[in-house]
Amino acid sequence: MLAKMGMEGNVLANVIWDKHASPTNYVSRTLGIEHWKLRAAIHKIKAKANLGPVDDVIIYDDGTVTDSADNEIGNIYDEL
Amino acid sequence: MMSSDQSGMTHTFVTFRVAGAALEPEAVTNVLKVSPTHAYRKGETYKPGRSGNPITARTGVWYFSTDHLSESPALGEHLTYVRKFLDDQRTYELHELLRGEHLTATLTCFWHGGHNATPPSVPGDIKDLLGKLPATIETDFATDE
Repeated sequence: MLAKMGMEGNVLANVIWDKHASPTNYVSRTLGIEHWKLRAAIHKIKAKANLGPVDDVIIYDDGTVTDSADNEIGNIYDEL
Repeated sequence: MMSSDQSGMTHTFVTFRVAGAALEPEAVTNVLKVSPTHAYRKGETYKPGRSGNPITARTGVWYFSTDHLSESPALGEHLTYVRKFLDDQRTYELHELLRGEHLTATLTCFWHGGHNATPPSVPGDIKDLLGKLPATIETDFATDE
């Protein structure tokens, strides 16, 4: 499993979605939110980052969302 | 068009954004006479949210969203905000700004309904209006599985 590492090599967060498709119910269950709220949050984060529907994102289990180059663009929990 | 989620509601909002390397957010605000939900210039450092790390913007973005302005499940009601700030004069002025500064404009429509709900459609007058800028229209419609 891919992970976001801290300065001391500790795991800060794990990747829970990095596929070319809309995140599944597994992702919303892992984050503990309703599926429509996950969809809405990703929609807003991508729009703010000037990304479109075909642009992939990576989602971590702490809610962090990055673009396909792993640049942080937002956090799911900030959009709820 | 009611959904089967826990709140028993269909969820809808729209966003409108102008983006580009040369974007000066105040210029868009001055044309549309509405404050953005979020805006930054290319190269500006901003925090994407409460918990995020600072990010240096790779392009400028002026972003407006209706998600905290209306809880209506009707897409048309959310599009009313866009119709208000894109009257004929402002549409012309924004068109000139987009052309002069090589900026892009995008309208996004979010809709989430219940299992058997029928997704809405983007009204023709909105398509015509945004075609004058021009602006891309992106729809993100889905129902409960």
